[in-house]
Amino acid sequence: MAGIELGGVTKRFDQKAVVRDVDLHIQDGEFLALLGPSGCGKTTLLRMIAGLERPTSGEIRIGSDTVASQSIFVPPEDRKLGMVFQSYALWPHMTVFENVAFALRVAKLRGKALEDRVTEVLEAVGLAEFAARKPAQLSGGQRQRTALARCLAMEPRLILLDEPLANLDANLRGTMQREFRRIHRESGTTFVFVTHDQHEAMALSDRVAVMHEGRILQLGTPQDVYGQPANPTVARFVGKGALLPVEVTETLGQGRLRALLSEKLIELSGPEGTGERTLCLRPGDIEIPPADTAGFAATVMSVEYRGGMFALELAPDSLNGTRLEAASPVAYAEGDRVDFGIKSGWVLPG
Amino acid sequence: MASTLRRIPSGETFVLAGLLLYVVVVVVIPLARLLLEGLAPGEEGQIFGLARDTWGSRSVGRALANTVLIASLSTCVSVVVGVAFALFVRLTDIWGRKAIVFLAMLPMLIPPQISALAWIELLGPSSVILQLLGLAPPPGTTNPLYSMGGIIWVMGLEHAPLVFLAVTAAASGLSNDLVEAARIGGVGSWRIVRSVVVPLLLPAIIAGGALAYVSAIGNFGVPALLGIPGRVTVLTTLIYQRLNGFGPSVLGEVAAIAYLLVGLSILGIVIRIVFETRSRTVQTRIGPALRSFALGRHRLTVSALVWTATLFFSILPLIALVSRALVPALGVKLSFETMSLENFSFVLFESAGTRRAFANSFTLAAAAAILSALAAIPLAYFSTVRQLPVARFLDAAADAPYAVPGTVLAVGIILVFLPPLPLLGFSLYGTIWILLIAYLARFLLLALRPINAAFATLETGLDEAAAIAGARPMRRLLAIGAPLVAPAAVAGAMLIFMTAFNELTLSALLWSTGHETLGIMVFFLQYEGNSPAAAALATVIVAVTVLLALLFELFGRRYAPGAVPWHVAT
Repeated sequence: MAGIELGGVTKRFDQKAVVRDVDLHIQDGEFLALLGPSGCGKTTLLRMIAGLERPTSGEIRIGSDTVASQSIFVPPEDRKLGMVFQSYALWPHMTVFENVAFALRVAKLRGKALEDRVTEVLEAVGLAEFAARKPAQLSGGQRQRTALARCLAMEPRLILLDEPLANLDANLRGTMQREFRRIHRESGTTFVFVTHDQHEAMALSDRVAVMHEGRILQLGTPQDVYGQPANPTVARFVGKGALLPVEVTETLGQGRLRALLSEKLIELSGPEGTGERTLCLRPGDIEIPPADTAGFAATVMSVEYRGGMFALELAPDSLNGTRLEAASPVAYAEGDRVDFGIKSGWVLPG
Repeated sequence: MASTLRRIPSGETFVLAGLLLYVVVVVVIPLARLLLEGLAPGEEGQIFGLARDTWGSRSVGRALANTVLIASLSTCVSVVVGVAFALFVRLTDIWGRKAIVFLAMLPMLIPPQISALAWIELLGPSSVILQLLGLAPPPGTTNPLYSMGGIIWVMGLEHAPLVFLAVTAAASGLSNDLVEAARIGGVGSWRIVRSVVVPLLLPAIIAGGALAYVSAIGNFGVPALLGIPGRVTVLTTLIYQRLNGFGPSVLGEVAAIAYLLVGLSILGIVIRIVFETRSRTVQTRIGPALRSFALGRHRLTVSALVWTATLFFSILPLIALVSRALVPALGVKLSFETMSLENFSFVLFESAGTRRAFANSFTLAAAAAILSALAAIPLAYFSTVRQLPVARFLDAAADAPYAVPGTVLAVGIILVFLPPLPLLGFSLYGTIWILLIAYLARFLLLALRPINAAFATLETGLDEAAAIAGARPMRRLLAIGAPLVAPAAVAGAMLIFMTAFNELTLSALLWSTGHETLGIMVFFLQYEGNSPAAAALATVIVAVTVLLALLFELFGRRYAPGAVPWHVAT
């Protein structure tokens, strides 16, 4: 088990910076998700932690060992960590047993000790009776479990997961998410998990690092990242927040603000500071009909039934053509006129 | 590089050093030495004087002119035959296309000296087939193939499969939509072939033609059998005759002649690379493959014509060869009464020379196949998977001895291995080892190519996952990489065995008494005038080659698709 410390880590491929000056501290035993759209540098960052890529500059420490710096580069085989690849990268010519046993054999474990350890790990992921199969004879979920067992076998101090659920169907994905959580809890190992799926990131991790264009834009708990995005990019990417210009008129203390939106006063939360700022609104911030009389008029542009509630797309009359998403227990028809209120909202810093 | 502090695992370094030694000693030094040798000053010390003197001589000038003329015209033959066959097989519904493909590839499998021998037997005064037809030239007349025209013809047919392969490969990259679009536009079939299909195949035709040209420049077997008796000298046979006549004293001069061969080949190689790239950009097929055009009422006529041509090009020469082998002695007419297996029993059991040649060729081919494949696995791993700069250099260097004519490589090898080895004090020239060295240089690429391709298609995660598991590079190679590319390595080794077993060009310059190869033996028996024995030996070699090719085909289709070089999609 080990924490990870990244300092000023940059990676360039042919002069193009893919990871830019990343500082990140991952705590011992933490489950951290690196979240971002494809091409944001999250996989490259993970591969640098693994030792599969060498940083162009910066330093990486795992536990108390410096594994990468200007003068040091520890190859992956000496980093004592586990990794689950997006493609699983199971060795096709070996059985499930041999796949799991390989790292133990490399570490010179032999005989009964080896067999016991492999069996134990295979039991932990529920694959004991598949030990003699080749990867080609397994289903997607079983391959995923084999990959996980293979990296658990060595009891690594750190497990890296590169989009491990991307190739599974929705049902299996839920099962495997629970499986990852359980194994994380039982092993106490540090997990670093790369994903482009915000629901996956929020469901699994203790903290989420949102990446964009090679930088970490925000690092925090899933609640922080969703409820209190640090900037417009995070707000847009996580939970698809609608962004509106707002005039903050008064600071109420304890993170509460009063602001003027289209000539109506509303109460919001956010860091202190008055003036022209940006408001992030999520479907849950909007109520139909409004609780008080200070409602906004809007036209319903589209309605979608989402099981138990309706997702509405609203075109408010006054907000410069911004579209808002809202949830309603009552059905509306396209073109209906509604009034809505803003019961909460997050004003972005600065 | 900043990785200096990284501990380089000793196993990897050790193997890399071994590979470096292999490629540098058998490839880099001989070719570099050849380059330097030809640059020597002349007798009065003029710069490049030796090369200028050599190139100025009349015999070299004539051989150069012959080489260029023969290569150009035989390329025309290859292109016409190769393209015609490719279009008929790929674009029409003639009968028995699979069988035609196999027969059309035969000339490529059969070594050039044996093709030449077979054609000599087919068209000469004692040709059994021509006698049957009453068309044989009167006895005593010179075989019409002992001429420039004969060389052009046989060489052209020998290299036609190269064009055929290039064109069929490109054709299977074309989409049928192209044809259908033209059809909907109201264009007739013949017009579609002429103005849509052929223009799209043109880069492939030129690339295939360039390959045929390069092969023709370096061909030794055909001009050796047809040109030496016909007094038509080309550069490869000139080098052979000079070295045979004057020995190592003319090495400098011969190196300067080899320069000309390299220069002529580079021209073809460059053309080939340029057009192969262009051809590939055409070959990004979306949609269904090209469908064949129905010949309708002409189907029978066209099928008959193509089959006749196939039999004439691929089968008749072999029948002539076999029938000559069945004749007990020169001058005896072949009939069921005179037919005998004496020649076969002579070459297989009685002649110590041919038995030795069998043993030598078998040992050399097996050793070259196994050693090259064993070296190619780690080399391909280091170059394709690990991407180590040294390995990438060695990988690229391994191309050279296969790209240059074999004669050139042989001259380089003589230059390096004729003098006694440093420290050891003895020379490898005149031993069987010099042949092995030449084969290891020439054929390494044949193993390297399929293994590199196999590594390139492996998912990178497989090696990375093994690294994460704590395995060092050599362990990863042995446990993960090698088992996964083993089929490609076996395919490469089989291809090397087949090629080396039949090899003549290198052994013609490097053989010595007691160390003859099969290629040399056929050549000598024919020279001695024992053409029935030469034909019998050639027949045995053809049988072995076809058998190996079938084995290779079966293995390749199943375990290493893409490694069979003559694989044609029909």
